[in-house]
Amino acid sequence: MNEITLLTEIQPPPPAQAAEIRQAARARLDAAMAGRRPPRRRAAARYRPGRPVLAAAAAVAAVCTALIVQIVLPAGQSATPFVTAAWAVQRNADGTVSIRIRGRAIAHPGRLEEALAADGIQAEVRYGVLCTPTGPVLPQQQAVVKGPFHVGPYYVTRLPLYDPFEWKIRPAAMPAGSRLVISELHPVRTATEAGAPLAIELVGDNQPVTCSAKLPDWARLRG
Amino acid sequence: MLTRRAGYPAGLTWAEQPGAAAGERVAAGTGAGAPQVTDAEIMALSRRDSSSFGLIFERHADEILRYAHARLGPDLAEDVLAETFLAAFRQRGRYDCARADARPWLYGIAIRQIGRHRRADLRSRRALARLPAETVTGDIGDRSADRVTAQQLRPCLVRALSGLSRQDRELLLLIAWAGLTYEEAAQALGLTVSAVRSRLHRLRVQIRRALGGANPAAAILEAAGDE
Repeated sequence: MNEITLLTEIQPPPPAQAAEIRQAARARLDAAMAGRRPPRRRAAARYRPGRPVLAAAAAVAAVCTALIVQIVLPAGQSATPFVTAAWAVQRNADGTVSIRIRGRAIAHPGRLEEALAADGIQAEVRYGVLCTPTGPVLPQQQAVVKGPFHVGPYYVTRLPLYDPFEWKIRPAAMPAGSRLVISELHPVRTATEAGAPLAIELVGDNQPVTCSAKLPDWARLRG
Repeated sequence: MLTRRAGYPAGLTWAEQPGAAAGERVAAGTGAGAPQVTDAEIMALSRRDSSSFGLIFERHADEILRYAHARLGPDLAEDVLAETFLAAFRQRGRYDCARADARPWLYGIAIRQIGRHRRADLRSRRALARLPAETVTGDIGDRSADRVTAQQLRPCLVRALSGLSRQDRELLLLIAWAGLTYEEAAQALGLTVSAVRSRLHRLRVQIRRALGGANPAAAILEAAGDE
């Protein structure tokens, strides 16, 4: 055993909040890559559990959440929405599930997957890439996904830069063992279009997808 | 199958390989056995298409984060991670594309970011030294003897680290914690490989002396075996 090995053995373990830290850092990089000013970093105390400031922040967040629910969800819907500042998931009286994206980005994709799973929708949510299934989507896609999508080989749209975007999913129409792949690429701005490309595909549970950080030809919108 | 966009290297489409480990991005080629895209190729692409740089983050963020966290703790790890990749993004035009692997370059930037937080670095080392040492019993079982010994020696090791110059400490930790090779550490610190070798030799002697000169690991294991 040498001195280097000894030092290696006392290396502190990786952070427990790695995914959260990574996502926050990626958001700052995404802003820079899109030519925007990177958002300011979060308070350093954020990762210290049990501090009074966290309790206060949680209280503020709870109030904000309640306000957002009041704002974004029309009356007559169920009282168990899953809401973040970036998106809201709501089960409707007719059995459909509404998804509303705000702020152009599916922040916290893991939490969106959990929210959809709570409403019986198995989903794979990816941010920063667009995913293409191997093989065709399931034929039930048309019955499952309802929204202002461009229908080609896959459903694709552009999340508007400033307005919210909403679509509905009918979980009852999803075949057993199927899953929805929801993927969103970073916002693009070209001579003919602007917005964040978002694609949605209904695939078999074991059907692989290939995800790319580039805008594939099938996701290009013209005219 | 995705189609190749104009301006891409022939035969390559940037993609994530289905089934690849998290964060592991490879290029899906137009046929079997397509070559893996190097960091240098991505860096070259990112000069024309800035969003390509996201792949560099996906490949190396976990590693840089782990290192930043080990050096400064969770509070500043996000800051160092974000600032490292923001700086790398801004400096991508200066990247030497003859270097296929961007890790040494990224570590070099990360070290500069860590250097901006010297007090936190010191606090982090003090906290590491204060961690209680693990109890060694006669039955070590299948636990690594190296690990047990290192935990016993941790306060001395941390003290020895703190007694080094900043540049020496960076070199040791790049080798021991980041797992860089001598050549990679040399690139990260702007040294020659021979300078790295000679410095490491000197540093190992220095640490051995700080630990008592002999082989303290053997003494600890011997004591454990007697119990």
